[in-house]
Amino acid sequence: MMISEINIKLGVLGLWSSGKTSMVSLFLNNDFPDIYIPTIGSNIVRKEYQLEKYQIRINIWDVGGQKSFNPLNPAYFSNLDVVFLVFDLSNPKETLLELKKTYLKSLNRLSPDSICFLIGNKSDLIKPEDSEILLNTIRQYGIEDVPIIFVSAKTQDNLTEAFELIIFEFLKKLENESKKLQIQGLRNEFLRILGKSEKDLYNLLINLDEIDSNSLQQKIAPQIVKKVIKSRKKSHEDPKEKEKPSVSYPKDFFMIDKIKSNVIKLFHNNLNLVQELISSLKTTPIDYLVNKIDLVNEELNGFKDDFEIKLNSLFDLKNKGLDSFKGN
Amino acid sequence: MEELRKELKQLNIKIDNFKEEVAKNRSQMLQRIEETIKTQEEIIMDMIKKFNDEFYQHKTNVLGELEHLKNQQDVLKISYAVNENKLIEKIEKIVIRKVQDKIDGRENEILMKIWIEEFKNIIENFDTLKKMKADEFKIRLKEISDMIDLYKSKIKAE
Repeated sequence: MMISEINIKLGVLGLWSSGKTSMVSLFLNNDFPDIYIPTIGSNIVRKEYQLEKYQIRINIWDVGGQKSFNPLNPAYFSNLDVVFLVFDLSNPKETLLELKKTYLKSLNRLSPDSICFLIGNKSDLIKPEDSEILLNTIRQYGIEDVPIIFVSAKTQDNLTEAFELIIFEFLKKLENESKKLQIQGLRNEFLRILGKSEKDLYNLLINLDEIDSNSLQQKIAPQIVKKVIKSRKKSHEDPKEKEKPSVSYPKDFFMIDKIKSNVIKLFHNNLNLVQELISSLKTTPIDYLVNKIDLVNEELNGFKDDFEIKLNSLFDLKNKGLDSFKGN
Repeated sequence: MEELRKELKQLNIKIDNFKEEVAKNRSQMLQRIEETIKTQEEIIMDMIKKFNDEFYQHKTNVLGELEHLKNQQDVLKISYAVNENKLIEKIEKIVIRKVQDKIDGRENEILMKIWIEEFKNIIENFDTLKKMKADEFKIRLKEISDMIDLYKSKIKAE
């Protein structure tokens, strides 16, 4: 029995340091990075869900938010199926304004039909006494008609569920738009493999009209045992290190090396993904081959821009050092 | 009449004597000419022989010198070839060192740049896949995949 694929392109967009990479990393069950390394270009990763007759493949484009590396490159906004617009709950005004001013415009122009969620990250940093101010700020500067979810990449609260909800929404849209019988019931099958109900997922959503600071605390700190967070251990533990914020900014000297290393790693990753795309053509049935070639060609064009951004960033790092980040 | 006959007879005798003398002189002259010719011939033959001997000697000497020069030439050729190779090797080493100095620490960037150019070329011609026959199509996909493998193996984190 042939398994068909459903490919979903998810863009994770937002200002630098809003926690996009951490969110994606934790969603894929990797470590929470304790050193901030800006994402150059984009980091493209994939997660798959196996249903009976379909494989759901979610291709996540984690787009770096540093202005100096052109996060508004059209390649990152084209053909998006679903989008997370991420803002920082510890700095909501600036990050929301930036989303509205720049990201939303590109999104409306290049992927107007995409399903969009507004994700407030770093909910672990919300202090109860600041909740009301926070909610008012979001009401004032938030994006209308876009569902909001608060997550914490660090504690993983609501994180996986946010991704699952947006996939669920996509499948729901697909069912509504498709005439194919096999597509019907996909979203329920998806819920079954998650072991969750529709209500469980929709509970994540923040209703700004109804919520207050008390119910907010309930939403962002549910009555469950916090999960143990894996983080990269340092070779020695200095007691004074525990007093410092959890994400640290290493010395410039090491930062450049780390960024370079990360860029090369992501470049490599892109090569792997390109290779997979090419290989996927080998197994495409002949009836669908022409369309598949077009789709693959489109995706390859997206990769092309990302490759160039990564390469240019290495040259910038070499010539300007960390000054190349001063365009934030 | 008698005197005429006597004169005539004397004339005839004189003519005969003269003829004899001419014949004799002629014979002597011929003989002398022959001897002269013979002598000249001998002299010339001697000269020719001498010339041949000297020429042969000279030729032998020249050949010897020629051989010597050829040997020297061969030595020079070998020496030139060896020096030329050494020079080329040295130049190659210098060029390689200069190039390495220039690209030192930038190998990844250079490879990435070359890959991007290759990649653009792949994308530009991607539509041609639609027109390819099955075996051409497979070959082309394999080519691209192999190229990617090559770059993956070369581009490594420092």
